Amino acid sequence: MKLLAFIKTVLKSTLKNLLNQLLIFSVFPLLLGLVIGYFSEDQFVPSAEMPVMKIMIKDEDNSAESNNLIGFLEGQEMKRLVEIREEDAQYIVAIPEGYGQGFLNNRDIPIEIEITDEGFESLGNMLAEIIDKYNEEIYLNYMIQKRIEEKALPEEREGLSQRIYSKIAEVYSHGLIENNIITAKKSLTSYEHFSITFFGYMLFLIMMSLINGEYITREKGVYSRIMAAPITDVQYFNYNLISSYIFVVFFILLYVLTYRIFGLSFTGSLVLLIVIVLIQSLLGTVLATLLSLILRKKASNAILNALITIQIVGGVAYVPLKKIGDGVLARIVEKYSPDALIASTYRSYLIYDGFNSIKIQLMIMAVISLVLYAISLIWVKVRRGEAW
Amino acid sequence: MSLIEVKNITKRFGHKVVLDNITLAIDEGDIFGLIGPNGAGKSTLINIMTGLWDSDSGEVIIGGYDLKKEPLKVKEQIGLVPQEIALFEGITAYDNLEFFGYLYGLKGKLLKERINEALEVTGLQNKRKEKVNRFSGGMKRRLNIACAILHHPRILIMDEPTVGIDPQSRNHIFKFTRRMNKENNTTVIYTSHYMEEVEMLCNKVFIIDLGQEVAYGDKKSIKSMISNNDRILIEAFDYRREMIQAIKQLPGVNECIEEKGLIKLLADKNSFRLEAVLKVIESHGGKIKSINFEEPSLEEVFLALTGRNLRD
Repeated sequence: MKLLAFIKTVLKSTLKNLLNQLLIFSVFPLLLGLVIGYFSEDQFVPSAEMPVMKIMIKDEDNSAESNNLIGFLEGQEMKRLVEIREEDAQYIVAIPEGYGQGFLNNRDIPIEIEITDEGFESLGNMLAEIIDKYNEEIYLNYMIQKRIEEKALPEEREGLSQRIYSKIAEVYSHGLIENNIITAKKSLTSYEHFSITFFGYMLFLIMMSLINGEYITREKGVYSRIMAAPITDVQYFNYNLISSYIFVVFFILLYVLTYRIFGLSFTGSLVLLIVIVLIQSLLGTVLATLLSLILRKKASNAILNALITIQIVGGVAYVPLKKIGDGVLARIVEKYSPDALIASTYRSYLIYDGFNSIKIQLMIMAVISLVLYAISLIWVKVRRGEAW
Repeated sequence: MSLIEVKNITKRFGHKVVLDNITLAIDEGDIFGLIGPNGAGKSTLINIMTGLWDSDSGEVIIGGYDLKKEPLKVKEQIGLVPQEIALFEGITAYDNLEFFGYLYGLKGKLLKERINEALEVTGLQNKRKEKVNRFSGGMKRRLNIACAILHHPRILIMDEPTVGIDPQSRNHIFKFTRRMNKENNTTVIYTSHYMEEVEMLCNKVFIIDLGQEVAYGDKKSIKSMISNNDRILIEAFDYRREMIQAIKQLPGVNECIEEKGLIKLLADKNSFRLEAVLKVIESHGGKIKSINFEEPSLEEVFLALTGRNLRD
């Protein structure tokens, strides 16, 4: 019944002040993430759910080789990435005259890709990479054919060529595209990136709220009053922890599910998402509880304010830093951000969407939570009966 | 055997002794006044008696249970009205009462009955569904009390329950305290630095200052501690300021203070001579309007025993 008392009070208090708390813990970080994500959209390599590229092809060669390339781009597999059209294109692929002869003569005749105002540089780069790889394979094909003509017996040539062509075609139609998609998927969209950045910000805000709530409980004498009731220090600690945990899970689920409903982030497996939320909420709650136990109000607020500042500056500066020094600074920021562990869990979840990719982070978070819980419990027992 | 026995309690914060070998006993049905100035050690003693803090030495036995050995058994018998407004302000009065009711093991129909009873006793029936942060100071104080009486405690500890409230709410609290004591035989420990409240409500008193016992017993016996003193009130005007100092120098005058135009004297019955005071007043240009002899109040007892006012 005592635990029920704590949980009911936290839930009632949350519901009665829901508007304020929604604004602080959900609306504000969500809006920041969405706005910054929107304005940074073209700075990020797209994910697998990237928009289809609208392409116009100018074939100035009109050779068998250029027609084969057009056929490749119009193929079934490429329809996931590319839509060929005559006007309103985002990308213009210009096949220059002499493209076909270039293969035979071993000359480099580059294809030009023009990105219009509606196009994204990152997607244009990806298209260029696909065409480059296609050209490499075609060149390889010509070289093989040349060797077959030089070395094989006339009656063997046709069968050998057929087998090699079909193998190469297999590579073109499947492996090449998948390879590019996987490469692209290893980066996050701007919405995904900033949903994680502002997730960290929101988590620190919630932790701050928990810590300040605990200080107010003590300052106002509510803690003393509760402890004058038939309840032990350990019971109080555990009930407080559980009710705070429910509070944290509620707001974090609200945040991630809002992004998920709009299809902007956290769109992988729902079960995995809930597992991550449950474990990282535990970490946040236990850490906040420990800080409120061992530190004075000013000290814990100063620490959390510093962490929020470092985390948010790092998260927002990530894009410009990525362009400096081959992204070394961005990687450092990513690695040493105060929310690094939690952020990396969500990043792995978004990119790979599998338990194996996040199991180590989940285990680390669970172990840290248990250690912090044990320290808190020892602290509560040792400090029992002392004036706060 | 007394309901509450506090034996040789000492408490230090660092090197500072805040409670120095305190011993007292409270019988069932007493309204026991614990008085002393701010910082005297009242709240520290309350915190030790309710199990919140440990004492460095000594023991507390309540209802036959040793607080250190069976703290939960002791706590079940106590209802605490803290000095602070110790409530959840973001939820309703009813929700607050429900929370504290659960803590004392109440549930279901009984809990609802007790909540209604507590709201009725404290005159807050119409405010049950209102959020506490919309309450006036007096209403919060009353709810603060309501939360402590839900489980019908044998002992009600009221730590400065009237601080910062209007006279109407104060009277309500006095009436309530007497009613709880009379109807339920609830033992009340009432701490205050308002001596007149304690004088009016309590039958036994413990006066504490700087962590030490100053006086302890029923009101009559405490007042008899300074029975050699007469309490004389002189209403005078047009006198010069230095007159007070001159009166203090007279033989038999133990204390002389000036308060709102009244000159209050504590004087030794045997050696004090009223004529000498009248002469000093006249010599300082003062004119006398009235002279009264009164029994000393607890305030004066404190003054006589410690040499300073309770609210200095």
